[in-house]
This record gives sequence, structure tokens and C-alpha cells, in this order.
Amino acid sequence: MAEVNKLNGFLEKRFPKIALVVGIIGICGAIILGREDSTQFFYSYLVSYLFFLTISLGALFFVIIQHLTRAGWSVGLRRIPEHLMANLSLMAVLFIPILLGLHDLYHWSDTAEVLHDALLLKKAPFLNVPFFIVRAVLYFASWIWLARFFFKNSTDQDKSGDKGLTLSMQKVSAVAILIYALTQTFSAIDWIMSLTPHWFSTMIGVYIFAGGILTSICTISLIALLLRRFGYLRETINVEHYHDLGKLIFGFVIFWAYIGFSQYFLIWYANIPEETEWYLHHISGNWNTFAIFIIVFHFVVPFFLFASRHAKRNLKLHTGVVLLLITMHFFELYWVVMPNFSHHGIHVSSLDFLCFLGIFGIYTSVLFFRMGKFSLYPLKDPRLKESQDFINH
Amino acid sequence: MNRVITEDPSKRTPLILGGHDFKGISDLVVKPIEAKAPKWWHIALAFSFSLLMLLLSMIGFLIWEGVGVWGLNNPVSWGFAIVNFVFWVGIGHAGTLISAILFLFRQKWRTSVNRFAEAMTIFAVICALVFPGIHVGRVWVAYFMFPIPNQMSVWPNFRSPLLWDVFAVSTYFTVSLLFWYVGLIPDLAVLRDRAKTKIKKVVYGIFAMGWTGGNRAWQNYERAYLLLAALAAPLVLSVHSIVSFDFAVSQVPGWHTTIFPPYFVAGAIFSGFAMVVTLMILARQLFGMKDIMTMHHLECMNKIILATGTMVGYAYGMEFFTAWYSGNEYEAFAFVNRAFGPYAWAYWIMVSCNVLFPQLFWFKKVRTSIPAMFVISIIVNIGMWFERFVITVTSLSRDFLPSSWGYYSPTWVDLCTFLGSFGLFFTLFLLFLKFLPMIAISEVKGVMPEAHAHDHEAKEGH
Repeated sequence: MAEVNKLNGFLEKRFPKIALVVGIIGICGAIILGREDSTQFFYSYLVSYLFFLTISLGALFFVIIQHLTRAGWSVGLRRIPEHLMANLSLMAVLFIPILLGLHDLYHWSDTAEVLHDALLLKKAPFLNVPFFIVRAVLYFASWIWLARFFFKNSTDQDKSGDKGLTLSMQKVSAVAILIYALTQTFSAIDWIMSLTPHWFSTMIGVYIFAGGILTSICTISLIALLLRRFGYLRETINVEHYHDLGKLIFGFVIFWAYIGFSQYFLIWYANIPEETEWYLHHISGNWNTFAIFIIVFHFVVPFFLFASRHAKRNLKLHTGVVLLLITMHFFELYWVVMPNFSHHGIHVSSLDFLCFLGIFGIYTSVLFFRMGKFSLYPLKDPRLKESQDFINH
Repeated sequence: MNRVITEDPSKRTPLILGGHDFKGISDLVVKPIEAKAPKWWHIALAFSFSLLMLLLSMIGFLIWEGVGVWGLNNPVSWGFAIVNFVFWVGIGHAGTLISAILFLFRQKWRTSVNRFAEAMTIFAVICALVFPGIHVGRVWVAYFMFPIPNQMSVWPNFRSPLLWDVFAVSTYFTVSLLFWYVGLIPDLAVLRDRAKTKIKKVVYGIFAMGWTGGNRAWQNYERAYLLLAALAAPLVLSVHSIVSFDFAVSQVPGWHTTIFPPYFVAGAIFSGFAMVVTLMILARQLFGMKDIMTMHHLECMNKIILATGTMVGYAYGMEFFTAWYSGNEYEAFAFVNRAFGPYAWAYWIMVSCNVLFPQLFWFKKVRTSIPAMFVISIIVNIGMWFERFVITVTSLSRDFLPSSWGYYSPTWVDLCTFLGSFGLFFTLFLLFLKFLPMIAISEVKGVMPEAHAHDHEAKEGH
């Protein structure tokens, strides 16, 4: 099969540059406007940051699980999540502003306040600034190491075709999944749960994971569709692969709802004040409407739209659902994070847009810049033929 | 780079060994049904049946005397019955996971295991249903659990997760039974066509529902199978989630934690797979099915045991961490009490059986050693029984008020009832092995290379 395996033209040359300019404008605008209200800036930044971080982390999980299960179907599209996860190094750099805004975001970082708060005093061995930074370094070190390992082996195989690389990736994937589970969970505890430091839920790691992996698969699909639009990967990623991605998306829509519902339901039913606190904040004022909006468009609508085989294989509809879910993931994170700042309802700020634009521009620019340098699919993966040949019966 | 390539990633492990053709597969699977039952089968059946009689007499005694014959006390009002219920429902999770979820994930190796596991699922759910049924006290009004319109206008409490259990488990049972039966139809037709006696021909004929194996019939069959798989997949999650609600909706420390639903599901799959491995090792040995249930199948099963066991370990860890992190003294006490209180012995049995031993499956040597996996699979089920015991009993025995603390121990009736439930399970299972094909004949044929149109061309080198 002769398929173009390199980006060229607009997507390779101009697109990353345009994205970079957009990103710089966004970040500069956010910094200029944010000087007046630093707390708003850091909250807006955190939402957008988490949005892109969860996509990259989901992609890392996707790659690990493909190797762990020795998947054949996904080989042709695996380069896309590989690029997404390679952006984790960028996410480490973009984490610096959050460290600068610790005092605005996490009130447990204020020692004076902790002294007056019996609960925070108890949690201080875990929730303190030095340990927080140590943990963050540990998470990023493991993610970047894993992402590099899988990226390097996979792209090396493009040149050498060495089947042993597949075997060594399979081997590492088993340990990788353990490291991933622990770092992903504790990063969710650190960066999201500790925004409301009194509150606790054993499910938070799984909940953030569920949204992230779902959006990541949607993003994989969206990038593949974008490339397709420009004439790339039309044969390697065909309707059968979109169908399979669609099934995974459908499955994870249900999984996300299942986890979100279980967490809410158990807390609602038991009705213990120290737990209901979190949901009370998140449904006060028009946050309640917003929460219902998320349930409808993050679960109900995509569930019915994507239940049928036809919908998953109709690329136009597929694009629509994927875009909807990606947007909803942003809103969901907005709903998770923002009520800690604007307690009584949605308060839309220009900083929300500018921060998103900023990180979006830089993230996309780096992504496509790197994409231009490597083959668009794993050229010599031993299971490539299996991936190109399979058909959904 | 010079690496020793131990396997070729572009090739898949063959699922069926021994060079059988299609007829050979049918002969092999049907043999235990057509041949005279071996001696060990009669002995095992007699033994299981006597345990079943033990169960029935214990139930009779319970109904005659009342629930007082059990070790329940105040504060531990949930004891063996709930523990056994959750234990058996958990075991009943492997079948549907293998037949529905692995089917949707195109895991072809499931074809050698699914029939067997589905049968086990159904029998395990039957065992499970016995316990809440006899736990209600006045068994003769057990039908109150169903929302049946009646003149007394007495309705069950729809807000109670115990009632949701009734719906969840009975739905699961119905769908699993349908799924199993639909899968059996083509194989029942094989048995009908091969039957040598009139009675066999009629009985298998009735249940084969006039299956002819025509093209149209297969098309409908495949469609029904896919739809049932799609219906059954969410049930794998829902049943044990709702079982976990029995505990988690309450305010009892140690019971109320948000990770319970997925954690229970992982634990259920863990124990179910362990039970399948235990039985598979025996069946493939005793009936000579090693070519169909190969080491590759067992290894796949063991990997899933390792994965789900690790998830269970993750949940234990998260519970412990959050109990500390919450800063809630009752929550923290519940977990310290588990590990170091009067039931510490049960807790450490649970941790070592569920978290430590399955980790041995990281080593390929252990994963592919029959004696090792046999022992570990049994250890896992011991551990999972103790997990339910630890959750149920430790939290109840020491709750908020130290003045009302107590200690629970089972009576001989509790122990005999539990033992008897194994009699029910194995009686059904042994009958299944003798009268129904333990492997899905038609599905196994579908994953053999001969089933694919271009196979002969490949062999001839075109």
C-alpha cells in the first residue's frame, strides 16, 4: 500500500506557526489581563491546563494498553496518541505557572490558615508545599520517562523494523500501567481534590481518569479525521478503525457516567456533611443548571447518538459527536474546578478564553511540529498488516 | 541492537492445538456426553449431592427454628448469609465477562472457555440467590421482595439497595441464562443429530428448537448473540455495583466509600476467573481437552487474575490512604481496627491471598505452571471470601458506640450451610459436564484457521 506517510504543505509548515502565534497572543493577553485578578487567572489557567494534561495522560494510557494487550487493530493509528503523550514534556513546562499560583489556588498552602484549621493540620504531612512539589516532580519524571520510552521505540522501529522493539514495549507496558495508575491517581488528588482540601473521595482518581481517557480517544479520532481531510492516512485509518474508536468512545461515555454517578449517588445517599460539602458547592446558584447541562451533553446525547453502528461509521456524525465530547470535557473540568473560586454561580471571564487559547496554541503547535518530523503511522510495526486488514463483521 | 526474539509479534498464538479437523473437534467435545460416565464422576456426584442434602437440611432446620440458629447478634446482624451471597455473586461474574465483554473486544481465545464459564456463572448465581432468600426470616413471605400488586397494599421499599439487588441479580440471572442457552442451540443440534437413543434425540431435539444450520439461521443467530452480548456487558458492571451499594450507601465507616462500585466489580471478576481456572484445570485434565483449553488460554486467564487482583489491591490502598487523608477519626479507626483489631487474622488472610499471592503471576513461569496456578486460583477464592467477611463483620462489630461493640462467630449451622452451597454448585456443574458440551463447538471451529476462506491458499503458498 502506497500511502503518504509524511506531513507536508500547510499542516507541516504554516499550521504549527499559526498555532504558536495564537498561543503566544493568548498567553500574553492572559498575563496582561490577569495582573488585575491573579486568582481568576490561576483558576482559568488550571482548567485549561488540566484539559490538555488529561488528554496527554489519556493518550499515554491508550498507548500502554495497546502494548499490554498486544492489540493489532490500533497499530495504524497509534502514532497519533504517541504524539499526544509526547506532549507531556511540554505539560511539565506549562506546570510552572501553577506552582507560582499555589497560594491563589490551594489554601492549604497558607501556613497561617492551616494553624487555625484542625483538619488541615492533620493533613499537613501530605498537603504541604515542599512535598507537593516533590510529588509533582515525581509524576512528571515518570510520565516523561514512559512517554519517551514508548515514543522512541516506536519511531526507531520505523527505521529498523526490529520486531524486538515491539517485544520490549510489551514488556515495559506491564510495569508502566502500575506507575501510571498510581501517579495519575495522586496527581488528581493533588491538583484537583485538594482544591477543596476538607473534602475526600476514594473515587476521584478513577473519575478524572474516566473523563481523560474518553476525551483522549475523541482527540485521537479528531486528529485522524483532520489528517484525513487533508488527504493523509485514508487507507491506514479507514472506516473500520473509526468504528472501533467509536465503540471505545461509546464505552467510555458509559464508564464516565457510571463512575460520576456512583460517586455522586453514594455521597448523596449517605448524606454526611463532610462529603456533601463538595456537591453543595458545585450545585449552588446556576452551577446546578450547568451540572445538568453536563449530564445531558456529556452523557445522554452522545449515548443515544453513538449507540448505533451506523453513527460510528458515518464520519460526519462521528466528527460531530467527538467535537461535542471534547467540548464537554472542558466544561466538565470547568465545573469541577471553578466553583472553588466563584462560589455562587458561573462567572465567565475573558481569562477563561485567553488561557485556553494560549495553552491550545502552544500545545497544538508543538504537536504538529513534532508530527511533521516523523512518519504518520508506525511504518514497520509487525502488526501493521493486521491493523490494515481487519474488518468489523 | 541484538536482541533475542522469543516470539514473532506478527504471528498470533494458535488457539487450538493437536491438528484436529472440524469433525475431530466435535468428537472430542461430545465424547464425555456420549461415553459412559467415568467412575470419578459418579463418586464426585454422590459427594456433591450429599453436600446438597446438607444444605437442604440446614435450610429446613433454619426455617423450623428461626434465624437464631445462626451466629448473628447485635450489633453484627449481617453475617455468613450476606458474606456467602456476595461471594457467590462475585464468582458468577466471570461467565458474562468472558462471553460478553471479551466478545465485544474480539478476544478470540474466549471461545474455548466461554461455555464452561457461563455455566459456572449460572450455577454460582443460583447459589447466591439462596442466601438472601433464606435470610429474610419469614421465608414464606419472601415473595414480598417482588413488587407484586396485592390486596394488602404492601410494597417493598424502593429506596433500599437490598431491593435493587433483587432486580439486579434476577435480571443478571435471566440474561446470563438466555445468553448461555442461545449459544448452546447449535451444539444441542449437534447432540441431537448424533444421538443414538430415541429419548436423547427427542430431548436434545426439543431444546435445539429445530436448528438446521441454514444460512439464514446462522445470520439470525449471530445477530441475537451480538445483541445479547451488548445487553449483558453493562450487567457485568451493574450487578456488583448494586451489591456494593448494599454497603456503601450506609454511613458505617469502612462501608461508605465512593470507590466501592468499581472495586467490587474488579473483585468479582477476580474471584470468578480464579474459579474458572480451578475448574478448567481439572476438566481439561480429566476429559482430555488440553488441545482446546490450552496453556495459552490458562495464561490469558491468569493475566486477567493478575490485573483484577492488582485493581483490588489499588482499592485497598486508596481506602487506607483516604481514611487517613479524610482526617475523620471514625473512618481512620475502621481501617486500623481491620488491620489490628480482633479480626486482624481475617484481614491479613484477605490481604495475603488477594494482593500478595496473585502477584506471583508476574512471572511467566508461575503463570504457565499448572500446580502453581491451581493453588493460587484456590487461594484467590479463599481471599475473596475473607474480603467479604472482613467488610461485613469488622465494620458492624465495632461501630460508633464502644458500649455496643461485639464479636461475631459463626455457628455450626452457618458453616454447614456454606459448605452445603458448594454441594449445590458442584452437583449442577457435574450434571452440566455430563449432559451438555462443555466447550462451544461451533464457536471454537470459527477461530480455527480452516474457518477462514483463504486458509488453504495460504497453505499452498499462493
